[in-house]
Amino acid sequence: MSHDAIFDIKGVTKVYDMGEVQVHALQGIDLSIERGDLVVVLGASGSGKSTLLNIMGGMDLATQGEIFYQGEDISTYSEAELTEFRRQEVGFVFQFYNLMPALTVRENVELASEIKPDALDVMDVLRQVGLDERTNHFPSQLSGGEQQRVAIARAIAKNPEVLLCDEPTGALDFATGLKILEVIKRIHETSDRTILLITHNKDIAHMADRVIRMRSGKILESYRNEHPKDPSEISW
Amino acid sequence: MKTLNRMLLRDVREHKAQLIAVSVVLMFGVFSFLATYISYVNINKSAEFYYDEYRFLDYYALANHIDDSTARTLAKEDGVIAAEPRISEEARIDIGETRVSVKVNSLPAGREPYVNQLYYFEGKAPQVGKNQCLVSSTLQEFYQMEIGDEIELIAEGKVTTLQIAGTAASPEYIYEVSGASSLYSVPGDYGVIYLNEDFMQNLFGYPGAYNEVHFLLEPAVAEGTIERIEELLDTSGFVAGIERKDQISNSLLRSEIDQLESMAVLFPLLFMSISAFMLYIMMKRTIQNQRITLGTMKALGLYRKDILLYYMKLGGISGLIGSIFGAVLGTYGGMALNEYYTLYFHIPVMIIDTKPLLIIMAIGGGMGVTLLGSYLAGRTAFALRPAEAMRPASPEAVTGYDYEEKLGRLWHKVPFGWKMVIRNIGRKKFRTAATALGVCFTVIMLLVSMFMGDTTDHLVQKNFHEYQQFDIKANFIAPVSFQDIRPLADIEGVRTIEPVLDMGVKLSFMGEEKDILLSGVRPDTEMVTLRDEKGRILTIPPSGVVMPASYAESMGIGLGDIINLEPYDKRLEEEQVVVVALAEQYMDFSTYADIEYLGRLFDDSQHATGILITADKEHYMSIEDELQDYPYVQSVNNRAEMVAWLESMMGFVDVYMGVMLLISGIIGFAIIFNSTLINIAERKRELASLRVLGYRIKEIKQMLGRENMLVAVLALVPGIYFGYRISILFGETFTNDMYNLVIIISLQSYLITIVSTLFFVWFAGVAVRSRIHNLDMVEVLKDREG
Ligand SMILES: Nc1ncnc2c1ncn2[C@@H]1O[C@H](COP(=O)(O)OP(=O)(O)OP(=O)(O)O)[C@@H](O)[C@H]1O
Ligand SMILES: [Mg+2]
Repeated sequence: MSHDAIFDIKGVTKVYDMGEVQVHALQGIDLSIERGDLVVVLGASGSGKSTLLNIMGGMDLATQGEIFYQGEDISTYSEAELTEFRRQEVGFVFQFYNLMPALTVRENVELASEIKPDALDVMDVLRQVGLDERTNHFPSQLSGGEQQRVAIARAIAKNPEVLLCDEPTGALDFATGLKILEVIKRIHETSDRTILLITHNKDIAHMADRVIRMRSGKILESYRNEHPKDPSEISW
Repeated sequence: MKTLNRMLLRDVREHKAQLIAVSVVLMFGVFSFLATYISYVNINKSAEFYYDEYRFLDYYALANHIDDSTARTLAKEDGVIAAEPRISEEARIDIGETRVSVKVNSLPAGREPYVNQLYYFEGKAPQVGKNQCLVSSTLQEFYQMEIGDEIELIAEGKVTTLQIAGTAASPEYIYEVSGASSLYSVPGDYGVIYLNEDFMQNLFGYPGAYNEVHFLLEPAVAEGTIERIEELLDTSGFVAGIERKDQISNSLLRSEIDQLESMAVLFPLLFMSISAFMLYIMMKRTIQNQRITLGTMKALGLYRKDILLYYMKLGGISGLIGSIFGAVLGTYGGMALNEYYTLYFHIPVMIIDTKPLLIIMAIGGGMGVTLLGSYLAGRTAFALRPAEAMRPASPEAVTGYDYEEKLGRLWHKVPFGWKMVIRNIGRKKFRTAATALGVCFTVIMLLVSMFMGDTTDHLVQKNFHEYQQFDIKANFIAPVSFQDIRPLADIEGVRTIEPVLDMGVKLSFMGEEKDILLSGVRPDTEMVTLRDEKGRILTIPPSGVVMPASYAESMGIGLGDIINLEPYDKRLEEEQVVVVALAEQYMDFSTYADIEYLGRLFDDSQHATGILITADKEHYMSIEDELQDYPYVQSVNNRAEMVAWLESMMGFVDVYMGVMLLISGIIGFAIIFNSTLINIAERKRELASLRVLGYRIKEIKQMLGRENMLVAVLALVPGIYFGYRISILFGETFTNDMYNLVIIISLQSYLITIVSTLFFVWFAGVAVRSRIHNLDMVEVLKDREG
């Protein structure tokens, strides 16, 4: 068990100031994520999962607290440094895919691979997600699961250190969701990337090295799975 | 960034209607600037060039009898580059059956004039010893005269047959008007002919002498030189001295060019700023509609500059297309306008240039505006944090206006369909504002393009129907006694006649000076109606004068002030008179007094320089013909001709305004069309959701149509208000010594503006309908970019 923490989060809070009301989306998060772990974040809707992930990925700013990424506090980063951080280190997968509708499958992935010198081969990545046959299709011609696989391919094509997936199966049926999880698992196994995966679904937690449960902007529980299961062994 | 560029191309294709609309707006902005500015620069340059190359006079003096030795002395004066004497007389010619007033000028013996050199279109100078003449090109063109044709000159009670030796133009007559007692010059009504010096000396009785000297002066010493010239001419019976700036053709040209300049700046400025502003709004909306794309780009870690560049390219493409087409059209438009102006400005050496620098500036300006607009729009969009950009919720989360509370029972009376429309309008402030602004700008542009026409109509109405009541005015070659005029009343068709005494004088008051026309009329005149600013009719006082209110105001003269009048005719004494009343006048400005009072005041005589006649329209021509037979009649103008003259003076303004109106219409439609297009694009998801709910296409169209119409109707109000204010602002730059413009926008213009604007809104709605039909619900709701 290595104690090489890739993320070290200390006292992070996030307050959305809505004028009359203030939403405390994160209320003092302390968390350490180890390099190479597949972490599943569980929690009810509104518990602050996305907020946390967005802050970790340099998409949003914390109200308070420090976020150390490989020893550097990204909460002090400027806009330009945050961009660089996202560009070099992070791959995002969203619940609603967010592909560029004007670009084909292949081009969507190229959009990401182009911006990093050590990017992976686009066709390799597409083969990994099983979409090497549909490279010239546009997003609107794909099913949800296929679109999500393109989104994953786009995220990993940059060869990022960290892969952040916000409910990647949220919009998909069981079987399709399973395929996505298998893709993610395979990526985890074949590389030493750190992966954070948000889900509503407790069962998915079985595939994780580490499980974090959130409630009302706090971490309720965090534990390690001694024997992570394969997605195919999970049912929900 | 190959992939980004490919995405850009697809984005361009996707937004092509929108980008084309943007290009069109910009294209006409650039077009209006280039066309007018090129034509302005060309006309200005051409006039300068003509003046320089053909040595237009700096100053000229009129005297009774200038002999050769005086002329030679003048030429040697300090500061004088050249002094050239000539004889110049008013006369008439018969071209076939038609009698025309002409200026007859002498040509120096055996050579070309040095000052005011002639430009020959055809033929050559008259041969010495032959009855030959040169005619001005305008006259030649109007009467289709050929070299060798004969005309009859009626002068000094004699008829002389002249053979046409050539046609020519002179920088003195860019505007060919007599200027002596009227500025009216309907084509074919007035012209200039040139005769040899000795021929003229014999004919008009100036053996070895002249009555004018034309000068080229050295600019630095001009001031003192003129005084010395006038002193030297004292013994020659000095009458008047006129500087270049006061020379009639030049001063008319200057005022026209000044107007052209203000038009060439004002309208394009308005159109360009509207285009630029709309461009910014359009780009901003386009980018806002792509917030998820933008958020994803940021999440991927694309650099700020790459993203901004992307949007700048997107906007820049329409900027480039718009500017280039605008530049091409504008260049040709400018040249076409130039060609057109040659109908009004007789400049034979018209330089019609394309002005590459201006073109580059216009393209650069158009591009710059789009790039800046896209940059600013991209920057605001970029300021959104990526997490923020990704959230499907948009700023509409702001709580809605509580109509129920504010309107009470009234709100319940609003039909449900309209409630939704009102809520939509209130909820989406930015969208509503953008639509409203487009409508507002359209209204402003249309109104501003129409006020000139209305204002001219108003001017004609005020001047020719309310102020001047006479139908025909005849000017005499020299003053005529009242008794000699009396027979004119017996000409068939004449109802009434009155004598008029016109004098050019220099008015001075408290150190300020102004050249004005003084008109003596009968105290009980029925030929002019003068009114004060409240519209009350003024009577001509037995002593003192009635001044144009606008002159009095600009010179700070008030009622009861005593002003100094110095006649141009140096044989008359300066006099002081009291200002008894101020009259509102719009053009043909004149300071009025009792004709007998004026006669007593200046030379103790009773005579007239012309007559005013009322007559029936069908007799205008026969009366004019008959008047021409009187030897002392110099020129005759009738009401129809005067209106025609005014309209021709305003003609180029009219054409210009017509072009501007067209441009306003196109830009206005493009803006409204674009705004409607973005509306649909922006609410694809909303509309798809309505479709999913089971709304019929017809119902959706109706909802959108009502929204647009309601916003448009509301936007008409500020549009009309600002259109009116801007028209007044523009109108002020057109008011000069020749016209006192009262800015009027007629009811008809307001109606045309309102109807066309609402039509644009309706038609834009119809034009984008297919987009509602083709809305693919599944696709729209699948990708979240709505
Ligand atoms: N931009 C925002 N402005 C205001 N409140 C926000 C904003 N973003 C999130 N919140 C609030 O913060 C809280 C946490 O939101 P977050 O999106 O992190 O929840 P989540 O755990 O991801 O929920 P879900 O499972 O539904 O995606 C919620 O109460 C949400 O309403
Ligand atoms: Mg979430």
